[in-house]
Amino acid sequence: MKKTRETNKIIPGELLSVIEEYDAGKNTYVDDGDIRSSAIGGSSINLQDRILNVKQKNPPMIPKIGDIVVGYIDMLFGNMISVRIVYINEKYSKSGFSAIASTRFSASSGGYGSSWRERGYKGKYVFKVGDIIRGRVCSLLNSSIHLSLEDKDLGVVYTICFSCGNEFTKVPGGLKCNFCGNFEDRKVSIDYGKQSFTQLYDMQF
Amino acid sequence: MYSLKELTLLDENGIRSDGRGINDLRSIKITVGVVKNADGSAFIEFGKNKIIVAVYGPREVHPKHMALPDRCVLRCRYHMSPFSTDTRKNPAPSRREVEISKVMRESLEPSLILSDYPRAVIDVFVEVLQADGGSRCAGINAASVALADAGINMRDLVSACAAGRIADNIVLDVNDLEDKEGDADMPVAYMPNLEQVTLLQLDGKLTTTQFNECLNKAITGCKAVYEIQKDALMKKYFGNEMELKEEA
Amino acid sequence: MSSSKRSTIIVEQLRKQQMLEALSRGKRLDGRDYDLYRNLEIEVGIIDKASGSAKVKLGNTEVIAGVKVETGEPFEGLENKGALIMSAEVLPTASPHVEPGPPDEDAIELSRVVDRGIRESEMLDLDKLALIPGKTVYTVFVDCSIINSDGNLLDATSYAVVAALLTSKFPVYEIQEDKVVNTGKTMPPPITTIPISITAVKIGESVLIDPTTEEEACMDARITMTTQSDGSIVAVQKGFTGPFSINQIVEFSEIARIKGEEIRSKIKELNSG
Repeated sequence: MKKTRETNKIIPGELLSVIEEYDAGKNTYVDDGDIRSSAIGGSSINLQDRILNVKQKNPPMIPKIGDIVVGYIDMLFGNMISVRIVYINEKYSKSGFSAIASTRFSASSGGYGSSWRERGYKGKYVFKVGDIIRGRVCSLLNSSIHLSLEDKDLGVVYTICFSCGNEFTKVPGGLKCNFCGNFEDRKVSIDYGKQSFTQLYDMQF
Repeated sequence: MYSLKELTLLDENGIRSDGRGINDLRSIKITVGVVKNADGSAFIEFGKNKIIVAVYGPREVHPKHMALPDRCVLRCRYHMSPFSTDTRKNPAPSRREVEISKVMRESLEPSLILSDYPRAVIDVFVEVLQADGGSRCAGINAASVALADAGINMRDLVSACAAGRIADNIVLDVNDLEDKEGDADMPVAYMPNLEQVTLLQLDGKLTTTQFNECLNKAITGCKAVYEIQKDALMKKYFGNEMELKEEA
Repeated sequence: MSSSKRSTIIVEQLRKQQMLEALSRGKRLDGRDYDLYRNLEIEVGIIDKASGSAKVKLGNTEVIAGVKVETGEPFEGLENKGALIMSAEVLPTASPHVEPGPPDEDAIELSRVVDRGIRESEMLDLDKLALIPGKTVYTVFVDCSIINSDGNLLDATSYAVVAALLTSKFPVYEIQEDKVVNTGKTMPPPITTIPISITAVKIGESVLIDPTTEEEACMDARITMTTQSDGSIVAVQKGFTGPFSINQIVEFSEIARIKGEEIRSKIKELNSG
């Protein structure tokens, strides 16, 4: 027996079924016992679980859990940073959503322990306003977007020297300025360098 | 004077000043996705009305304190271009435009599932390039299609149409002249699948029987408009597939 | 567009570096040559209620201009001339960055630069638009709405205004017993010349004609030059913070003349076709 049944060409408001027959799944809603679509797309019915979903054809670009976002830091709070999102899953986003991330690194991220200079920072990562960072959406609790920066490929992707404005080179435990030798502590992503940002920029065109 | 007016608006054969019968809509054409930068957009030609609607969002709210923790904010701006009317209109928003912005927002809001986008905002910008009576209805029709084009979760489309009274006749889809010279004008917005009215205004005098007839007529008009809205969306989103099937 | 906030500096720097790198290879980001205009489409007569109207699409930039002709009092000091009033509004539909409200300084600069090109070239012979000298004259309103913005609003708006005026039909007013009466007849407007503006931006040492939004965001300086039918220059506006060298300006004035002629012939076709 086939496990799914699919129909196409659905627009919002269309009557799909009744609650006695299926459970209302994604992009559907229930009105007076009827299951209706809330999106443009095609429906698919999982006949085993008896769930009716609609696959949306034009989902708006909103960060979801698990998405990788790139943005810049626009504000620092005590233990938090606020990130203005520029790219969601490598696609340019004009919506200007801001996300928050914690600067404390959790005990479970022990992988950095050996190379990470813990003295003086009380178990906190260091960031500065303007840093371009990459994060993963880990929660949408209280309707704000929370980013995790714990993985190797997450963290600061590119920034410039705070004292002289020149480029940094990645060194163990942080960044060293090519020009004035200034060392700054950061949680740096494994692919640090401006290409990580400029690639995304080129893809816009 | 009175008989003269009657004669021009509706002749003895039931033909109106623009050649329509009492149950006819003006010609309607909707094109989806006309503004490149917008998340969703639509252009409607409703008789001589020409209206462009662009939707931006869901996006970050500015100023931030306007954000609501449990749902999305909907903002609507109805604006007429200076060249849209017979005499030039001052581009600054008039009281009429502010009111229409409000009733449009309130007629669209019931159709949207705003709780899906907390702390965000959806902006609907309605620009009337040419006005010809019934621009709020035409604007609502285009705005609902533009919202669907932006991929906003919604319960139903909103279709709008006006009905009115000329002497003792209830007519569908009142045009500019009939709005000014006629005896009553009643714009109605309606969610056709859910059978709910989301906008109802009346400007003029109707008896209870006339009121009921007028409302029913307007709703028949809304249902006819809905088919055009549906076709416009189908064409944009399933157009290629339909053509492919025909070829095969 | 540009902001001096520290938070966005790094992002802006990278964008500009990337733009400069593309230009150093002789390419613009959209693959155009430096002196090439984007696809230009002009549609006239789209608003029946206006005396003249035009929709211009320049790449993704889309502008509608409408002409309304009424009667009113003349401007002080210009008692024997018709009045020309120009406005431009960047609609909030145009881009995610536009806030609804009264026009900002960019929109006011836009309408003033376009206005200057029309006024100084004397495209409309305003002397022919007086009814009772010193008391009642024709008032010509030209209003522009920017529907979608993707750079070079100046040129797109200017072409829309020129096309709308050129193809318009002015109502004929007459004075009967000291009253202004609309006769219901129309007349072609008194056109003397066709002004065409050409805009370029300077990024690094490259001068790019017809900039997109992205190029305008990276620009050091911008220059707009308007020429009339005989090739003489009638209006110039240099914008933004960077400088131009004398050579660049002289070279650009030549480009403005040649490109202006190309676009002028395209707009002239509207009236014959």
